[in-house]
Amino acid sequence: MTLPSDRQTKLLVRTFFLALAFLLSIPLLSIIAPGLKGFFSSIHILKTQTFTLLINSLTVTIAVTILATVLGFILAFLTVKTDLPGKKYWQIALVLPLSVPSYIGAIAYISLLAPRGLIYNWIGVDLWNIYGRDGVIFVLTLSTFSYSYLICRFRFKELGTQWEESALDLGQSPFTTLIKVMTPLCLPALANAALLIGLYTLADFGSLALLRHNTFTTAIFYQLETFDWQNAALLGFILLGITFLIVYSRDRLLIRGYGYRETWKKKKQPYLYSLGWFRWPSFLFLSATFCLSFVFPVLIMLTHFLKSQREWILLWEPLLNGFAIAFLVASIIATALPFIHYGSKIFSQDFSTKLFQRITSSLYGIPGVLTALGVLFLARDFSGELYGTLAPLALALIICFFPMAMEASRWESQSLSFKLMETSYNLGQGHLSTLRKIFIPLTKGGVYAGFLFVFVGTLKELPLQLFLRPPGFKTLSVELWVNAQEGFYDQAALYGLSIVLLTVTITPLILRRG
Amino acid sequence: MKIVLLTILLFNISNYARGKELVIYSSRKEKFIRPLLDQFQQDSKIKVRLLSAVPVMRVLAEQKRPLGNIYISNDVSQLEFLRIKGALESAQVDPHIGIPLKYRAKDNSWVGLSARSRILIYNTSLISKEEMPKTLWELGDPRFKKAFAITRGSNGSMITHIAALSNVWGERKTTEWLRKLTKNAGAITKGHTEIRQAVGRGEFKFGLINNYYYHLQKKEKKHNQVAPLYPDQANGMGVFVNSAGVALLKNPQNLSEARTFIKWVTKPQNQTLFTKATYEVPLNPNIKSPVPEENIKQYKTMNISLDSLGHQWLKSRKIIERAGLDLTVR
Repeated sequence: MTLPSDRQTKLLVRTFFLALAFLLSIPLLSIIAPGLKGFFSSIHILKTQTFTLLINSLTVTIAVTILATVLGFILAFLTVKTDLPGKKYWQIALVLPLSVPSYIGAIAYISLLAPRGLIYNWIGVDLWNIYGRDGVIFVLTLSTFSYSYLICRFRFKELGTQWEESALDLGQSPFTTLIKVMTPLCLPALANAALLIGLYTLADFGSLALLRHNTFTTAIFYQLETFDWQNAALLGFILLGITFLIVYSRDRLLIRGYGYRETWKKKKQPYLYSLGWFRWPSFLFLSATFCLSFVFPVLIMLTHFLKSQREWILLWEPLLNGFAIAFLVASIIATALPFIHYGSKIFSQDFSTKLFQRITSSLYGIPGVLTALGVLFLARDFSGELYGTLAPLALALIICFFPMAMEASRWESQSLSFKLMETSYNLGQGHLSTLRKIFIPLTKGGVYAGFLFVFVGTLKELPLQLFLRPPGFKTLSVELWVNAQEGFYDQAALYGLSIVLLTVTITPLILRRG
Repeated sequence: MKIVLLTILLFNISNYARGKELVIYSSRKEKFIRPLLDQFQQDSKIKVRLLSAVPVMRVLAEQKRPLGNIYISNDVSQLEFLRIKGALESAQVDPHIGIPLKYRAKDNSWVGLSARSRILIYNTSLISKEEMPKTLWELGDPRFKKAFAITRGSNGSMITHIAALSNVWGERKTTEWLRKLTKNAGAITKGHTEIRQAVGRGEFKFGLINNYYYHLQKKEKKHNQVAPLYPDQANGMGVFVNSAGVALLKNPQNLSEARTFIKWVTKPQNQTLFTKATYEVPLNPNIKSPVPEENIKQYKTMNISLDSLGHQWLKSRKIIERAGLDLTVR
């Protein structure tokens, strides 16, 4: 391999990755000390609660991960690779569930399916009690499958027709081609989607609390509300361990060697499977998923919105602030991504990039409230005049969403053929021009996906904004949460719908580019 | 487009730099507190910057370098906790503000302004007043098995209530009651909103809440067949009255403005303003209540000084933990 990697570059890259790893692990550092101390002093909670919480967290996480990942994969397949009616619209529609915070989904389904809810009013019996584990799995699957959908969609678009053509020419049926050829080719993307969904579920708070189910994350929130920082840190510490295990086993288990792709035939249309008689059932399935995950919660918000007097005056400031902070954070992360992926690819065997990868992935599973406190302590003690401004919040949001953006965009650079870059070096190009001319154009799909996740994620994000907003700074997600949790759904709907509208506007813009 | 966005961002960032204004942290909703603050700005010519929905942990974490000057809280336990942790400063308050001493800190670092009584809300189409329990002790009775909902034991109001009960009953009796309560409750929820909704809907016959949530449910367009019941009246120990109030945060910046605010807000006419928007009963018995059927003089209240609850509060967490109610939501 002819790689221009003189010592200077290597030093630069190492410093860069180690510094970044340190920056991202700030929240982690702040819980290690009290967490360890907690092991010795908080024996009661360890004895009585840990096992139940562990089982609860793991069952919900595993179930949601499997269901949402598979669902997203199927939907991506149907919308990209088949002759499904209305494909163009579905591609955007299926991203929209991301804009509905999971606790809004929970509120909507509670009004429908709680004992004596709407269903009872209509038909006189309770069909299904939404409270508890199964309800949580249902609601969270609906609010996370879009992650998998979006990642798989980018992957399908990238895989050209040659795989299917070869397999079909060799006499395989379309179905076998799909199972034996296409699914393995999507595995890296699926693994990233699964990790993203799993860690999101592990760290979710709102919907679990409303649906009366306990996990590590809800327990951490409750501990903090009783000002028990030590127990909260202890639980956070255990949660961190779980996350680390998940990330580690993902890295171990991931089947290597399926990452090929044909980068030089990008413009070609993907191969289209004919659905035949299955066309309309598929269409129905898609519609049902879309309705359950997006239309229904939005309808519930709309009914509240339409039948009440709203205070528009209270909307503009949070709207502007929410948009500004989301755009800022997403732009910063999206700008940094290509450099990081490029460095990780070129120096994939170096300890600094490996360490960096592990740290970023495990951080994603930490509840935002612990990150928030970690950053708050740091800002208070070291940030000088920046304390009390937007800077700590922006930093915390970057730390919090960085791993998500990494996961969303990583598989693209992973599956990029090294030969292309080698060719570029052999032709006398340096790192920077290879990055600009080869790497960025070929991996930008993932970066756009990352931008979208971070943007929508920040719009909905709650704990960091609660803890780190400067005085006077109102944001959509905080106003939404405050109103929704007090049961003021009329005013909450105004903010919830704003988040949906912002997402609806920005999604097509991003998807068109990616 | 990019330039416009950048300008907005820069404007935002510069706009939220620390300023000379009085910073008010509040755990109540902005809508409820705005009229009060607008009046204050008009009267005093002091500029106010408000941040609502501030978690107490944030106030505490900022203690070394506080950003806020005033903390407005919905629960006395939060105020007491901040006082014990040394995050509050004492204020000068006119002795004739009309608020009984049992609802104020001795050093005036916080003052309670409105009552949040711990009452039962019941669904009138499912249970009659006669069938309802008359005392809290009866909630442990098998008669009411799965008939009612309570909040988790880590909810601030709940802990404060349990602290007050263990002051009256003693720790053993309280623990026994909590054990029975945990077994008997049909649901243990995250907060009181879920209880008022569940009772209104008819999922449960009744629930234990702060009286303010009863009024919210009564105002709903649907599911409003509910009524309040004040427990432990007549010869009982009286209903426990928690309070929402204001505290002076220890912060050298804008200290005199902050003191002015405390002085201003404890004046009787401003106490009225404080309670008006939230349907809360003023702690000052001489002030007209915004809820006509409820004046604090009309029911028997528990005889307990709220500023004795702080230390009991910390102990109560252990009792709750032992009863297994600490982290459970079901």
